Amino acid sequence: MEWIYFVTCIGILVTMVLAVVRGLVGPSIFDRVLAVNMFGTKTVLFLAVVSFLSGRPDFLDLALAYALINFIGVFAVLLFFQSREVRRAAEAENEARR
Amino acid sequence: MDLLLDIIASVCLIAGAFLVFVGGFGVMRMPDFYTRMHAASLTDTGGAALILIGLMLQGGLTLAPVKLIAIFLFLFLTSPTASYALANAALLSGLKPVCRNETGSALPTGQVVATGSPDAAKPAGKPAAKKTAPKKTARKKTDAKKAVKKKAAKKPAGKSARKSS
Repeated sequence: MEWIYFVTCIGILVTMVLAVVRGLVGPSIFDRVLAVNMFGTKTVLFLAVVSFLSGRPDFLDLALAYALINFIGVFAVLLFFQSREVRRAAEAENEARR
Repeated sequence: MDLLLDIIASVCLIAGAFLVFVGGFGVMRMPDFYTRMHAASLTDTGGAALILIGLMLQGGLTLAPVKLIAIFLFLFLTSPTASYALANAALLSGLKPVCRNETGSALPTGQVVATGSPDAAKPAGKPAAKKTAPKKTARKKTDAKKAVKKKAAKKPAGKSARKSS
């Protein structure tokens, strides 16, 4: 059973690396936000699998806390960028009126 | 019975790891932001569900499956919400999906209005076509702002109040 956990860990880690690459090269801001969100979700899964791999169920609490922080963080970043776009649209409207 | 549980859990874990890997590969290879989001949602639903169910089957009668169920419920409540907010923010900021016409040739993203945002792009079509290029972009931005206002009015009172403050 150990090697199954190990294979799952490897798969999740490869996906995390791919998400980091997408976050680094992503053309738009939203690609980066998507990559960070995906990285956080994969971290939760990775912590859950590692807790079973090492036989320490305390890690599941860390996974739960990480899921909460990840959700709040993504929403904070999205609200920031959304309000920035609205502000830019208002500035463009003011420019057009002049 | 123990062997059966082991086999089911192994199948779930391997299938979950495969789905997670496919989703990560899709996020790297897909051509467009919205298609990338489709690939990422694959890992959020199928991969996470299969891996967590496989771990639950291995937990036995301890506290671990309860915590796993809590993680499962939380992930399944939050990841669609985050995806919706992400797509909404991307659409409102003017990121258009790449699409093709009937002949199969890819259009430049600026000309596409058919499958884009229904409330932001369609009203801009007729009046913006007569104007010159820089004014067109300004007109589009004001339309996007109108769409934002419309959406804020539709949303429940708590969120709009938070936005306006």
